[in-house]
Amino acid sequence: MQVFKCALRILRGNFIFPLIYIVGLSFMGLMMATSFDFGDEPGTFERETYDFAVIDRDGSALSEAVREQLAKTGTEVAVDDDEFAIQDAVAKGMTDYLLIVPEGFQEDFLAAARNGEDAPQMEVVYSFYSMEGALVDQTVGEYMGAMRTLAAVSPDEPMDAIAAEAARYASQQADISLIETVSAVSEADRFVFFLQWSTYTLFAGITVCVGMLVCAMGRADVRRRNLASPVSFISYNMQLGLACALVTLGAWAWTFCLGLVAFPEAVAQISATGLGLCALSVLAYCLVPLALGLLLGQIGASDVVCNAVGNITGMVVSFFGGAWISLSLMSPEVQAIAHWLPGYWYTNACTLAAHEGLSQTQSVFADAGVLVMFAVAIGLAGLLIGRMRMQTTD
Amino acid sequence: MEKIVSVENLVKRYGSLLALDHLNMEIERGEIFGLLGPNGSGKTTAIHCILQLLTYDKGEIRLFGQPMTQTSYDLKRRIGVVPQNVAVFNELTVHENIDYFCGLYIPESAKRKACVADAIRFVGLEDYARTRPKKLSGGLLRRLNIACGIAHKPELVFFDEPTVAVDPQSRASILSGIQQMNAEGSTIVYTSHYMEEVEEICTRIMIMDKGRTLACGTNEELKRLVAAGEKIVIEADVPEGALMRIQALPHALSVGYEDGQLSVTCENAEHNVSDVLEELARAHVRAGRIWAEPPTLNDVFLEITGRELRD
Amino acid sequence: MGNTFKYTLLSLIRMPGVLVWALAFPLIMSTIFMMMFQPLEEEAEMDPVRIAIVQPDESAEGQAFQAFLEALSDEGEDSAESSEDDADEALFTVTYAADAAEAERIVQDSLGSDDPYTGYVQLEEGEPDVHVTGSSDTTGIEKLRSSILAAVMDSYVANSSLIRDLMAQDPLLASDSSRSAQIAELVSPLQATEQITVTENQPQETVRFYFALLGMAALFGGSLGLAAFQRLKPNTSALGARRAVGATSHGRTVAATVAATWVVSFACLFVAYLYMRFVAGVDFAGHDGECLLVTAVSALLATALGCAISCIPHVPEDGKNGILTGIVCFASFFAGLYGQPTMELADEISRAFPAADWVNPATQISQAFYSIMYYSSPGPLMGHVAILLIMTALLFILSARSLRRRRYASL
Repeated sequence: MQVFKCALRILRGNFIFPLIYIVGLSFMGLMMATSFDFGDEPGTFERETYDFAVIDRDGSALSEAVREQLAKTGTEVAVDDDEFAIQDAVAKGMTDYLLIVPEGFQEDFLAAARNGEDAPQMEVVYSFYSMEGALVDQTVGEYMGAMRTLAAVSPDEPMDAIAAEAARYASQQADISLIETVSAVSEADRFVFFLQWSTYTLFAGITVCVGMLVCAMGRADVRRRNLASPVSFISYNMQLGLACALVTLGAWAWTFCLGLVAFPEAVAQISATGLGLCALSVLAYCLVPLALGLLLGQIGASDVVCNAVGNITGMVVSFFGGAWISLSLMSPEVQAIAHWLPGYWYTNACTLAAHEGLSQTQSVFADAGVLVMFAVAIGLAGLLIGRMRMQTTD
Repeated sequence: MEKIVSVENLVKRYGSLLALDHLNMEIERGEIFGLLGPNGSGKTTAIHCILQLLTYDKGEIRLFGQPMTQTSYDLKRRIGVVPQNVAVFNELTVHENIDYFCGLYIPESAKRKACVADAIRFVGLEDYARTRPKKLSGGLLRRLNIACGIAHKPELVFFDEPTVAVDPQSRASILSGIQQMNAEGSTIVYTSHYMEEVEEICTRIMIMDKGRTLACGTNEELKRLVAAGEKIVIEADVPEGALMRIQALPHALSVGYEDGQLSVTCENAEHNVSDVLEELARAHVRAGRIWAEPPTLNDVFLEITGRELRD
Repeated sequence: MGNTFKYTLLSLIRMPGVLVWALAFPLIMSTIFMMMFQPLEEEAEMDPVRIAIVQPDESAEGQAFQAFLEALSDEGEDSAESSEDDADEALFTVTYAADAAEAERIVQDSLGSDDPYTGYVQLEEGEPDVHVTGSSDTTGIEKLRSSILAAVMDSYVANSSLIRDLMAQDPLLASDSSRSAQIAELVSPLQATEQITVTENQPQETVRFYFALLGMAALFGGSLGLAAFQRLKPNTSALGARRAVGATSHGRTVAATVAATWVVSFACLFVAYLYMRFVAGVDFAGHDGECLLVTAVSALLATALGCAISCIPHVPEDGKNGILTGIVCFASFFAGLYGQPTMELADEISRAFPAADWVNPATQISQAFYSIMYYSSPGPLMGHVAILLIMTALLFILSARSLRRRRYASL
């Protein structure tokens, strides 16, 4: 077991990389997964809340009414009426929706409504997420529409009366019920997201560690020395493989167990079979960076190159696995490319396993099978390169 | 003669380990000064202290008659260093490396050009000027390492084991190069543990161990220092009794008999060979071939530093 | 000095491992971001929400509901041309179903696909009965879509109740067809607002990722500094020891090394910037001068970071590379690089602990670019540049002790 022991020593010398990638970054994943707010009680639907600001240059009953109406469903953020303050609020994302009521708006609005002209418009600024802005805009549009109608039909009503009545109408809501779906987001998704984020940590961590290890053991002079020793070629490779497998299993166990420990509620929602299938998917996924690490080692990549390739490929894989931005938001081309990378299959497998458990066993196995195929393909490439390199004299 | 290097009572500790123990050293202009010692005896430490790379606890170091400090750039300009480990930029070619290191001493690039060309010619790397160090063989790499240290034509050059792991051809060319530099006026400090090299080129030799000077002098002076005179070897069938009697000879230091070969190490004395032959004749032993060897520096070294293994 | 500068530069641009970080990394990631965001930007600001509708009956209410929906959706308009025109405005993509069961089946079947339905609506006795999927993903997008559907239906409820009341108050209205048509028109949704930009440039969600990437790329440029300084100091390499015995003043050597490292990392970062600007088509709003300034300052910071890390004692070069990687990854994480959930978490953290931003170089770099885009006053940009320069100075001060020519107790 000399080779194996030596490999472990090399790993110990490079402990900083697993420490950063596998341990450190997995805690980042925990932070993110913990930060999700699923808010709703099970079975009920609550409307999204938002932050808004009103820059009131009109100082009228109308502008006040709009502000009050928004405050019913959103949280008001105070923003001063100067260019810098407004830019700052939008740039820093302090508000989702910043409404500017121009001077004389109420007057223009009432006049337009009563004369049947096109209503004047207020200015609005959305922040980073335009969908949230659009949502708030819907509320404002509805309220303004009601006020316009009321103003048109009762030409003599004062503004505050119109506003109050419009508010009464606007407070009516449609009946919303939640469709019972198997994929409804639940505590379990924290766990799934954590596993999804781990595409990056596992990929980078395992690739770098295995790459460095194989590379250190395979340096031309060391390799020849090893090959010249009475340890058989097979035994040598078996021991080296064992060390690599240990790295992989360690990363797998750490990540999976950390998820189990950190999200007990999530784990309670998932069936034992589901958890088993999750564990299997993660393990199958781990084989891919293992194979890539072996490939890198075979090429004789330096530590810096292993680190770069592991980190960058890890990012790419996790991006195409949808950990960065939901794949459903991506173009069909990107979705098509995603099928050619392991992250997609892994995410699919974990989601199915966590939500459906038993009923989807076969699909999970199929996804895991694809992951294994990835690993095998990369591994074969590595072997081929390794063989070619053995025959050359470098 | 002008003293180029003068070290007085140099003490250097690594924690509890005393690396240099009141070391004294004086080197005069024009010498090839050999610094001999087993591994770990303090040769490299001494050089690093002289070059002000290492702190030291006590002692005075003067080069060219002036105290040496970290910022004595005028002194440093006159010194060349060839470190024990090959220290060059792997990313730069042979020519670029030499130009860089030479540039640390000669800022004017016009003046430098000739020096760099000379250095490349001197170490025989003309064909490799555009090659990167990774592609050079061990011997060529050593030669590059040397070229980087001597391109600026220093008055004083420190060679720290420049011939480690070098083939005999390269070694011969390195040694003759050093002699040539010396002939052109450079003073050389040369550390090694290869006796033959030091014996071959050095004009004066210092043997040190455990951070102390054990002996210092020319080759001949050192040999006279040790008790061992010559070693007499005789091919003959020697009976036990004769061996005992030879052992009892007044000048015999040690006697060995193996495979029909009698070897006797004697003190410096007048009649060593005839005394031994006389004893053999008395035992009616006919001697075959007979030869006598004068002591080598190796004998001197081993006698002074002892024979136990070093790390 | 020129000599050291020249050869430090040469040796840095010949280190493939280091250039991977400084140059290849931002180019690869920009390409990824490009693929990721371009379709998002090319399409409308917002994807229409996919919903199913149980086909309303022929009653007046049913027809009114359908008309209401059609005004908001891009379905039901036959010509591709007109739907293209309306694409920006369309809130919904509607699929009609025969009954509630079919509608629910359509929704259920779409779940888990790449483009799921948000819910379905059935008009019952004039009131929309809305069924949404709610939060079916962790990004919160489905929840948001459900909320939009809910808001639109709220508005329909409010408006139809308004119309009913108006009719009830004034029975004449119902008979006066011109008047009722007027009211019906009035009660259609009102485009009450106009979206404007108050910032120098429209804040785009996607641009923030490029800024975070520039921050990360800049910091990875620190590997150049690390490599250069490892080869400079006598106690970190044999090469450093040899250079220390040369007859060039140490101060000049350090200065030349800093300059050469800075030039290389600046050049790499600038290439990345040009790539983003011209190939990825990120809109920097023509503020190239300011961007150049931030790039230059970031490169200097990276040099200082690499230098400071090389001064950590008793750690081999691999370990120092690991430390650099760790610092960069964590800093970038808190700058929101790793996708939308990270960006949201980073936003939250910086709102809760503004001080965290002050010490995070990646955040400072990305915010510096950000302030170029979004502020018309140079104040915020200068603030970030000042913080970056202070960080740089601190890092150099930290390394000063180790950088000063020193004799070492051991090599």
